[in-house]
Amino acid sequence: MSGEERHILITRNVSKYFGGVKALEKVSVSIPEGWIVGLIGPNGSGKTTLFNIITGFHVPTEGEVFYRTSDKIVRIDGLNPHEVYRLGIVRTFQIPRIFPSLTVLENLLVTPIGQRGESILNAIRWRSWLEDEKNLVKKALSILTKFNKLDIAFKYPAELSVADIKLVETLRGLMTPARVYLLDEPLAGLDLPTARTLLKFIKEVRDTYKLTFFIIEHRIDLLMEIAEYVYVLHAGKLLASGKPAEVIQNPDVVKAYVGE
Amino acid sequence: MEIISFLVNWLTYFAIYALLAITLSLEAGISGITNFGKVAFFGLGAYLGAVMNTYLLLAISGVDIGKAPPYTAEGVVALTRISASNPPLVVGVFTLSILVSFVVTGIFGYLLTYPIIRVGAGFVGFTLLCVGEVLRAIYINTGFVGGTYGMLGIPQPFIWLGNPILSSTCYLLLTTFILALTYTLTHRILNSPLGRTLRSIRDDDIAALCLGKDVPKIKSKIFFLTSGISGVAGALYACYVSSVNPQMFVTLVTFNVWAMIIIGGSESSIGATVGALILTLIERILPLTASFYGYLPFTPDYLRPVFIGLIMTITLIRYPRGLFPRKPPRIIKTIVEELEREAG
Repeated sequence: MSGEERHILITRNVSKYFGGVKALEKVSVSIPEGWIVGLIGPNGSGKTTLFNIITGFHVPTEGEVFYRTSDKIVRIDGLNPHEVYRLGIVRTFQIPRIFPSLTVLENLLVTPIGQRGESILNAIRWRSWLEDEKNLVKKALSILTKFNKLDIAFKYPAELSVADIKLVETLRGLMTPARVYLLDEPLAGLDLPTARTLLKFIKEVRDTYKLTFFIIEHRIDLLMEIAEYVYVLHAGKLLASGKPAEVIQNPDVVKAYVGE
Repeated sequence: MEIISFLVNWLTYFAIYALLAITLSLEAGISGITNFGKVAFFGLGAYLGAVMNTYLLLAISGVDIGKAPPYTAEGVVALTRISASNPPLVVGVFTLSILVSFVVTGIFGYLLTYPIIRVGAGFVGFTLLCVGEVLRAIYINTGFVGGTYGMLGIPQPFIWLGNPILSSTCYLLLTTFILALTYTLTHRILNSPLGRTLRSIRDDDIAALCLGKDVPKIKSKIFFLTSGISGVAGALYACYVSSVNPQMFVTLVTFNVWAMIIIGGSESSIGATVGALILTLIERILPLTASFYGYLPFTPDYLRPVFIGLIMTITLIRYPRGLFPRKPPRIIKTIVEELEREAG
């Protein structure tokens, strides 16, 4: 990574111990703004733990996490998940978590924070939020139209394919001023063509909205197609980092995955 | 005449229970707060209403409470005299008691959300269940509210009208008005962005947290509102039946309300209301049929759970989500159609 990149997300010497288990040890990563960065490593290497620390689900045992908002750099470790989200960091889960009793459109509409109609006093006066709601619906429909998914707007999650559910989970973030996406295994459970479509979609979102992606993925071959930089974790420690082509040649990485 | 008094009686019970059912559907069906302690708030409101409408009334009228506390015969006699002779005072104290029940029970619910948020979703129900039982034990052991015997002679606010049918009809109108208010309120909340957020929290509170929703704060606000309204229902109940005692606020009441929202549909206000209508009707009809069951070796009261169970089973087989399941808010469809028209 060259020095002149603007980093949007930085962890510095982050460690997390669960009792005697060292899930993460002094991990430092820097995510340049607007890049697609991969995070790989064998099972149990601490990838999801790192995500949990960045998004406020865990407090690191030591170390700091910094985030660049539009005008300044703030420290975000120790914040609550909903506070981290409000800064523009959106995450998805290994098992997609979209709301089963809401339609796709409602799943998009529920996302924006600080809606006027979310307070009890405003909720009972429809006129106070109707105009906002109209704008949100307009935005949601335009997002769905952009990605050719208008036909699923009124469907419930149970009626969707796994790929569409993952898509909706990612689209949801576009309803807010999201700036960084943390995707936890977005390709898990997808067949090859669908996985490729989703990756294409991620790239499209990145290019259209100038967003940053930090992606955990086990399908290294596919990840390498879109990632511009890759970090490798092994047993809680940062093993290697660099351009995908370099990392994959690294003997340490090969050893971590397939043994001697 | 008998039919009218039956109808008035049934509909008053219905209005009071519908308040409980609607708020429970907002708590359990929409926001995911499994409230197994509904009776705690109902009972607290009832006792608050009872205490205010007796002690306060006696105190303002200059009766020596030390000599004639409301749970003694002297107190009841004094209350009867005052409620027949001083309408503005009775109505005034009653109105105040409704407001106080709302605020105090609401705050009680709000404070309870602190332990609730800490014990995790699965234990919410049991924590609240215990709260109901603890409150009942407190009533039993408090001489001030009559202990096991409870309090009698709580004045019905329209008793000074003289004609019992007229006064209970007025009371029915009042409770129906409060029910209509609550119905409109919850219906609007359900179809607003707040309703959507509450549903998302019920579906998956972790994901809602990840989307920036301040889950504990939203839940405690809703719980303040629903608890307060349950308290109002309690105060209305106490003044209607003119008495309170700990035996009236057993856990069974809670599950009766649960049965209402299970039958009617827990995710819509109309469902909760219809559920309350059906179950209160059964409850009111059973005593009337007592003479037909004269030859039974048990009182028809025991048939009530049988009927409720039967209705519940049949509804659940035919309508698993209740008689009136949730519909997506019409307002969004309207907006979408409007946008389509604008776009041509």
